[in-house]
Amino acid sequence: MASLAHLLRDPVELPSLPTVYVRLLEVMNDPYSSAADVGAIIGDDPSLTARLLRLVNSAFYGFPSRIESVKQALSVVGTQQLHDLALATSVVEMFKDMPDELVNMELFWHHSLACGVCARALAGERRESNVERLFVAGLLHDIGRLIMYLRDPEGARSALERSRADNQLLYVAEREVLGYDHAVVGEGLLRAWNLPSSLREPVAYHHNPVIATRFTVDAAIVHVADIVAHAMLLGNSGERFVPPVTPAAWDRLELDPSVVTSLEEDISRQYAASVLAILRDE
Amino acid sequence: MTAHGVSGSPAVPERTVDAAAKMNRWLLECLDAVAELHHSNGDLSEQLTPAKICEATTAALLQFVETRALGFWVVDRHTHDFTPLFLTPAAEHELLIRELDSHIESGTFAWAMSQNRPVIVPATMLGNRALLHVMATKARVVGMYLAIIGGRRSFIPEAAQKFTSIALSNCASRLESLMLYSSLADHAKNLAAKVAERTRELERSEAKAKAASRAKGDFLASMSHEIRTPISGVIGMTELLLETALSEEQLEFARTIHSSGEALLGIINDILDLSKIEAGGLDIEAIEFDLRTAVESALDVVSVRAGEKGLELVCMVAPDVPSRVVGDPGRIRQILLNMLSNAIKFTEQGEVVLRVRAESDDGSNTLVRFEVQDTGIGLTPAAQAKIFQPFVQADSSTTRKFGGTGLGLTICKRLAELMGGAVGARSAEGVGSTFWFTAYLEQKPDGPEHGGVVSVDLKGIRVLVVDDNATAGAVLREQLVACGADVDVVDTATAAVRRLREGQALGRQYGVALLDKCMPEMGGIELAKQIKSNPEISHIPLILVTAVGQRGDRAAATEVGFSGYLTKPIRREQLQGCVSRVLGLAVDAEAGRSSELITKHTLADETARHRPRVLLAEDNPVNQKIAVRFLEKLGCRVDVVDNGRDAVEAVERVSYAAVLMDCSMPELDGYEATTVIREREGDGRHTAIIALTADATERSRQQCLEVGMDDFVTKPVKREVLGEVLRPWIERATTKVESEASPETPATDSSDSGSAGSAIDLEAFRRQMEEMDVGEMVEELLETFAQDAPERLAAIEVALSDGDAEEIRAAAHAYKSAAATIHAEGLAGLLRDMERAGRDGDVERARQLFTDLHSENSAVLAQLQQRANGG
Repeated sequence: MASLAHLLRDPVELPSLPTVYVRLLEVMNDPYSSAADVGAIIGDDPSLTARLLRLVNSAFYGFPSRIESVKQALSVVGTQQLHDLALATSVVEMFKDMPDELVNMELFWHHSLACGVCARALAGERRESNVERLFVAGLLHDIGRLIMYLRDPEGARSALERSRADNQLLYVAEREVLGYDHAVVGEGLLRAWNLPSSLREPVAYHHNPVIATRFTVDAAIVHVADIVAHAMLLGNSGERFVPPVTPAAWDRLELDPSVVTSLEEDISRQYAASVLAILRDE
Repeated sequence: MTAHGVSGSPAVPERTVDAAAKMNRWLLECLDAVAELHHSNGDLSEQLTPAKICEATTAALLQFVETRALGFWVVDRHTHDFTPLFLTPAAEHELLIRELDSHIESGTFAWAMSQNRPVIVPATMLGNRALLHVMATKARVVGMYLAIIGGRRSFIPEAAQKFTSIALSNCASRLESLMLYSSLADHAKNLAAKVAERTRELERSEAKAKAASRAKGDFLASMSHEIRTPISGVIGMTELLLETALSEEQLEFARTIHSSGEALLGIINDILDLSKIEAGGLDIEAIEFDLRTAVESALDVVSVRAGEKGLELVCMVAPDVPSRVVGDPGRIRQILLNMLSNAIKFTEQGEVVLRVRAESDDGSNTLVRFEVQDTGIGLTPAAQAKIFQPFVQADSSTTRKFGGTGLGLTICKRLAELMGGAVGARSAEGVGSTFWFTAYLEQKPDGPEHGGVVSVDLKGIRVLVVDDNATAGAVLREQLVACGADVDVVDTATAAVRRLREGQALGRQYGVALLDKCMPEMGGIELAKQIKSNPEISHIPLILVTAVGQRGDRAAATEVGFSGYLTKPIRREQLQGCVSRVLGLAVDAEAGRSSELITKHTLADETARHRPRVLLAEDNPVNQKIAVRFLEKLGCRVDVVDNGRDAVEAVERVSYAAVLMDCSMPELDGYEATTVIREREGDGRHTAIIALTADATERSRQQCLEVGMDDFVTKPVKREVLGEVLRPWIERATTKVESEASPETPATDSSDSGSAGSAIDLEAFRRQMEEMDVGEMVEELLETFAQDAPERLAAIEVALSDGDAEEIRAAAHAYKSAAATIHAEGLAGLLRDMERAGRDGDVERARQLFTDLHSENSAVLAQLQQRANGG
């Protein structure tokens, strides 16, 4: 069984973000760059362009008219938001060729997308301005598991077995068997990718949202989104149970419980669209 | 931060520095603007309008985004219509509206509503772009913002977009706040109006309720008058009937009518009282009165009945009970009477003891406890529990055996509670019961002390009390000890004689002995005879203590040699006064007055001497007759009028000792008549006017006092009460008679009263003597008459006891001329009647006449005596 440090130690072994995304990040941070510049970078990567346009034209986005170009997408969707979506699609791409031994990758991504869509919907309900960032956070919440399956299959398997034998939540079994859970691993990966703490905290604390320090609301959103995704039986990342909601986290959202029911339809639609747009290569 | 040029060109340091500096400045401006927005949130001044809020937001936005035209639309909560709120510049209004419409059509508008950030799309005008941003709070969508952005700078930096979001979110919040605030203000105004309305409604209801309550009170008052008048008529008439000659059968019938009438009156009084209390219409008075006097007067009322049943009636008032208090003597008396009557009613043998003590004292108020203890049939525990409830009696058989409505104790309970106290009962079946009540009374220490202060000092005097009843003996003992006397109590006549002799022998003599009249073995009178026949102890003054006063008692007592005479229940002052007078001790004026033996007959005696003249103003013929009879029995001479006008005229002509004025009469009622009389009196003579009224409320009392009446008697009138009330005025009048030279000539009266103003018409006598030119003989003749009178009267007495009609005639004849000579008209008249009776051989009639004769004789003699004393 590998230790956490061991797991995250070797950056070479860790998959890295695609170059196009890194360049995108750089341009985004340049005050002199314009949308045109951003557009150019995306445009350079045809598959990214295709994926993005597919996504923004799908029910996932719901814009009334067709978005023809990246430039238009930038206008309509917004630069920051498009950038977040680019990250999302890139990550999925990265892990496309992972083997199906320990976990069914399709199911894994289904669950991840579902969590992302839920998180986005909850953020929208709360009138957050950057809902796409929550989409990304939701999408990446269980990414730590992928690393564990990749780099420490033995440990991962033991944890799985333990969770089945004890009828225990998987992340609890992980902690018992390995001394750490997939949330911590995920946070480590995002840190290695130099992603901001606005993404790292929700991922790190999606099972313990109350101990988040800066992005407490976002952590709570992802926490609840994960549970909703489980409850809606959209995909699976190894967890057999629906984890319990932390009441304090729910309270922080300041939402009426009935929103979940009212959003269900939207979530289903958007989830289906995102699966089509992101996971299928059409 | 590394700066990368576009398309990989090499970094240019200067540009980077410039860029950084510019960015920095921009960010600072941005932060300031945000701070400004934050600041403005607190502004909710009166002049704030939605348009003003939009104006402020516009100013902020224009700092960071170059805008050609912009507009704010707000959504109506109910119709969901968007209406423009603020559009600028004015010239571009049309443009803005058209632009918005186009986006609504395309669906961008609707979509932008669900986004929480700027949505930038091409505008209808080529070359321009439209920025749509929803204005929403967490709770709801407030409106939509549309800006037409044109010009070269087509890329809006992320930061500027962020700022736009912040500014519009802030704007939405402020608009929402303002709306809620004004809505709140409206609600408050509305609420205030509603509250005012409700208050008015409540006031109206309250006024109505008060009016209803007043009406109810008035109804009760008038009803009580209507009901009591005929009943008092029945009762009064029956009393008069009972005093006429009746056969056994008739007597029984009349007695039944009387007791039924009294019972009915009692029930009606109870019901009226209870309904008054329940309606909250009963006022407890707050007047200053003497507690001991009130208690004693209650005892007086029941003493006759107690005596008839052979029950010992005892009263013990603890020394720490304040004498002068403020409260309602009438109601206290009412409760006491109720409890005492019950005690006497349900007790066949033994005693009824009334104890009064101070339960607690806080310096200014005292909780006084009254206990009535009897040796009667007692109550079962079950009965004890419910006895104070209305219409409940001990058991159903009680009503049949003893009568009563079962309201009395309930009323007692309510009254006691109204006086700040409580009621209660303890009982053991077959042994007896104790009924108690408490009342909270304010002390009035600066009144003339009556009971608390000892007015007589009996220090060093040894007193022997002889009474078979231990309680009675104890009470006498306590009362005498309070004066400093040295008291011994024995319970048989034999023991008494022994004690007296012992005391004599040992040199510790008894100064006085009190003998109870009714004792088993030997009674007080017999005992007195024994004592008087024993030379050793015959000199000791004796006082007879008897339960019920009867005329004969006093005569018998004097005959046997008693020096004093007291009736139970004995008032402390009575006792003290009597003892000290018997011992020849000096007493102060107050005690001296009150040491008089107060019996029913005292008043009669007094008034018989002087026969004061009283005016009765009463319109009801039945009440008239009753009142006249009462007054005559009290020894007054009565003039009667039946309306206020005549009353005023009568008072003008005659100087009355007192006027009994019925309050409700035709033409001029009692109040009005009194007012006129007082007006006409001015500062001159003040004729005593006593109100006769069926209405016993505080209000009517006040009214009487206001018009100038002196006192107040409620109907139905009781003879004793009338006597009590009239006494002071009559006494005053009789002392005036002596000082006035000539009595007034009588007015035309409608009844047959006696002769002129006093027993002897001195004026007439004098005139006559002077006419006969022997005016100087007046004194001598009067003196002679006074000297001879006893002899002459004795002669008549002897004749009567002999039963010799001729003797009677002769004696009466002889005396008659003497009386006529000095113009003792009344006496002369009576003697004339007696002479006639003697001539007719009617000894019985003569005997009947003797009572009045004796009275009139005493009156004449008294007048002469006082004249001799005072001149």
